[in-house]
Amino acid sequence: MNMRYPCGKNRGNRLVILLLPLAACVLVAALLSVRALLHPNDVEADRSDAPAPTEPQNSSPTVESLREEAFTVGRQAIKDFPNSTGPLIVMGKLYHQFGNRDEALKCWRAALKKNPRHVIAWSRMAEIEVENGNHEKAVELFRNALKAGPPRKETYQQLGQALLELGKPAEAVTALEAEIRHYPGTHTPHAILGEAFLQMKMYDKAVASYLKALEFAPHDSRSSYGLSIAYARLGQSDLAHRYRERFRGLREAERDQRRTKRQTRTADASLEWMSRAVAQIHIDASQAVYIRHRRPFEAERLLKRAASLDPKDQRCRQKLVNLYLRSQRNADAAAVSQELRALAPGNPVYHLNAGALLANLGQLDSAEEALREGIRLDPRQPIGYKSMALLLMHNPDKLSESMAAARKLVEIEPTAISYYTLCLACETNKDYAGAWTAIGKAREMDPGNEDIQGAHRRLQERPASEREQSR
Amino acid sequence: MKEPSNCTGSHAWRTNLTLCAVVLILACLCTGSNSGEPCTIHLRDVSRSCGIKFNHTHGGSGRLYVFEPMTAGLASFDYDNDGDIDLYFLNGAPLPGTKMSEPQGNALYRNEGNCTFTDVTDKAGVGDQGYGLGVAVADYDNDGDQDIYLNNYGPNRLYRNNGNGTFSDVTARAGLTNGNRVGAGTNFLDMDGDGDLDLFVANYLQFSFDAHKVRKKAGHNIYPGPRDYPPARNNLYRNNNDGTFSEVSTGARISGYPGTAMGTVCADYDNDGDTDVYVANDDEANFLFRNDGSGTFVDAGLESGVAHDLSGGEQSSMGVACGDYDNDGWLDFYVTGYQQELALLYKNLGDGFFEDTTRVSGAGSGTFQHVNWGTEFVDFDNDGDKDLFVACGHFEKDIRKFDDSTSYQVRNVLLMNTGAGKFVNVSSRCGDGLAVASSSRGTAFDDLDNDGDIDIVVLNWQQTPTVLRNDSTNKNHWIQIRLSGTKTNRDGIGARVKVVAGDLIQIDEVHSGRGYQSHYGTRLHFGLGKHDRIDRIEISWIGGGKDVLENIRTDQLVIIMEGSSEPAGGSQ
Repeated sequence: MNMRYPCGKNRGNRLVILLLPLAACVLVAALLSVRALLHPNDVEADRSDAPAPTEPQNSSPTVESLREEAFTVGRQAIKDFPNSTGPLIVMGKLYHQFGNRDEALKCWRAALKKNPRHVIAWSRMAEIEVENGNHEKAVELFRNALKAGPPRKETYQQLGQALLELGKPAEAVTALEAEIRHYPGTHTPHAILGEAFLQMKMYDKAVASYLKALEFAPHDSRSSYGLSIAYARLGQSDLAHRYRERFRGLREAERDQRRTKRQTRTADASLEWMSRAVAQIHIDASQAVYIRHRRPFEAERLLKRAASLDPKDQRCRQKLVNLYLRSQRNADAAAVSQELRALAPGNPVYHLNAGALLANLGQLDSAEEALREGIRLDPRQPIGYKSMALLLMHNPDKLSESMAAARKLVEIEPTAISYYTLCLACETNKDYAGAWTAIGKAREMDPGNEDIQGAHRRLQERPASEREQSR
Repeated sequence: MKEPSNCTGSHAWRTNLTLCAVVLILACLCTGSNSGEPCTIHLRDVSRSCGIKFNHTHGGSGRLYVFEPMTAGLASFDYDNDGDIDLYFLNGAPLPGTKMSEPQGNALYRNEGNCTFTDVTDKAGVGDQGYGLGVAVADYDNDGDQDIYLNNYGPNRLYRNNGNGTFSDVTARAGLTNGNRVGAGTNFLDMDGDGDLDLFVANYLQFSFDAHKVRKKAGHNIYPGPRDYPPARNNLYRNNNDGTFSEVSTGARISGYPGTAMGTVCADYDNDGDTDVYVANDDEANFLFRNDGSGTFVDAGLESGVAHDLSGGEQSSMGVACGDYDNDGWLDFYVTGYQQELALLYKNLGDGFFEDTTRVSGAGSGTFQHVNWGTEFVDFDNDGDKDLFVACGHFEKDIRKFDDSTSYQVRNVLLMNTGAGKFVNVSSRCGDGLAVASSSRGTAFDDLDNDGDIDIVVLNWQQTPTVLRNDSTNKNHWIQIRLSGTKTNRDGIGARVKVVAGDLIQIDEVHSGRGYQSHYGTRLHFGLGKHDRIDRIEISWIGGGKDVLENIRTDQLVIIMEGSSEPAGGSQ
């Protein structure tokens, strides 16, 4: 590709190059992280694309037919990949979901025979022991999971919780601190840490942990409750009272919500539950088996079936978008992204992704609308401003808005690529002096970037007076 | 191989080795190979030989009404004042869709001594055929014999003891029908210290057959839960001292707290001399109604730390035990709950706060997998500290078809107090009494055979009850105390007893209505370990009066009259 000029025939192509990775990077990152968790050690690769089981034609499924469908998916996965651990993990989850823990354990033990370092298998077995109230065994299994590979998110946390249940708060503290080291940024390990310190009568430390938890989740009722206790023990009755009342308010709201939800539940809840459960099995099988073994058509079929079984499920739709993006099916990806927007209108990422995909398809008005909503929902997210700046460069009526978006981007995330985006916006607005300043900053930050160097050369070719005129 | 020096030949050596092995195996069997703590409690299942034929029914036809799993409690008390503890079992009743040729009703069994019982229901006239849930027993009219109050689904019942082995239904006259509610625990208490017994009546939820909900899980019909219905307000009745009661729920500020009550107990948790009320709520925060001494209450559950678990979660609380497990002079609570929840031990810190010590004390051991119901702190081995018994069992008969982490019929749990603030699960090594697998509900704890240790009766859902005779063999001493109020209520309900034997100091209180919707323990029991003399017994009667008795012999039942410094009677 030659000149990346902000106006003219090539601008559509440039838009694709700049916008598509935005959507892809968010979704792919999410998906890859899940994949890595599901298959940390499984190195098999089977490129064959033999037909997977056909989906049932029954238009009005029953609980029994859905259950059978789920087991058919699981059995077929094992048949397709008898040497792989993935299908065993899925089958174990299936048994677990339907309350048959003994069979689930058998599947996960079989997976461990194939791969003794399968972190997921160890973790799942530990979770079963927690459910059985056998916390001692659970601790042993969680520790095996941690020995087998890099810690999954929440494994140290679960270990800490199990140790707490065993009345070993000091050991729980060590585990929970490890969780926080590996996965900072979530409130739960801090809240459990607070409980461990409460049990150790270390009330100052309990307070610190709970307050930290509230930094991440201000409406966490568990932490407010813990604070009310810790402050009371410390003799700080005003603070104890304040957090008690806060807890009371939070719990009442949660309780009302649960009660309303339960009372409005229909008698068909069992069918709904089963549909959701079976949808999850389809998703797991698509991800852990067919995507992993590079059989995208089977994966797609399972994900679409999951979407039809659970019309509100976002996970299967996220995976579908990713699958489509990987196979350059951008229109399909955009359509599913729009579904995600409708399902979770409060999630800015969905709007931003959809905006990027729609822009790529040339649906500029729809793209702008989606991006605006994404920015409104999360004004601190740089991707939105970046996409918006690039998009509006193509609308002669909104060039100044493009510039404003680019400036906001630089303000939030002053990176080389942000300054480069600002440079493009300035050029589009014929503010060559601004463009010159921006590209200078971008060059300082990333001198090896070819795009930045190209823009710099382009601006250098302009008369010096233009570069200085509006300075 | 070198022969042992004290043996003369290879045969003797082998014999000795075999003997050693047998001794070791026996030792393991006796003490439990999986724990360092020897088990000093032995419970024997005598259900088949005790003559009790009562068969519980929930009365359902498969429609799965929400309160079916909650039936029922039982009561142990001496209805005929003959010195033996008798048993009264509550029963369900036919519900819509159920056809029964002969409704079974409640049953009273007279103790004939030596742990054998005779059905005297008809003769006594207490075969109520309402839908039984909770029961409390006390001498509400102070006439010297114990009366029965039944908290049913539907109209409640007050049976006044006529003193001649029969009872009269005086519900209507007393004004204690309590509408058509779904009942739960119930308790007699002297809420205002005026010398007569008032009545707390807990309610589970607001139900009508029109509002019945059908629930399914994994394709199986299951019982609805408490959150499928609006919560219910509890009721409080003041004794007018003329055989009638007046409802005072609003004035006493009880009615401001709708909940989903299950087990209840009335006890003086803050040692201020008046009786407070603890209510275990199903899937809601528990209540601790603190009494200001005048019979006006405020819920102190949240601020004192007994409303929630350690994480601030609401447990599906079922039964509640109340006793001083660590002998620090403050009454603690132990609350049982649903599967995937530990039964919770709330240690009373003595400053208005409780601490959830479940995990560090081991008091939740064995409870997580099961739905747990009746429970109590009881010193089964008379060693001077109180152990814990927990009745377990699910109500979904097909539970294992969709959840194999639990079972419908399971063994109950016995947690032995080690004396150091810790409990050890000895369920599998305390005799055949805990080998019985049932779906248990209410429990009662009393000395059925008057041999100085506490026996257990368990009401099993849809089954006959289990009677566990305490056959623990030890040389520990004990004392049982029956209070007799003269100015205060006749049963001494609410009175605090302190027993001092050397360095062993214990307290207990007389409670009417406790555990899981049941009644027992009007006669207080203290294990004394090796102490063969009691230095002092102090009684703090409700209302402020105190009596002190000194230098009391152990291993006897003593009757202590209010205002006296000598036992009024006793038996060894």
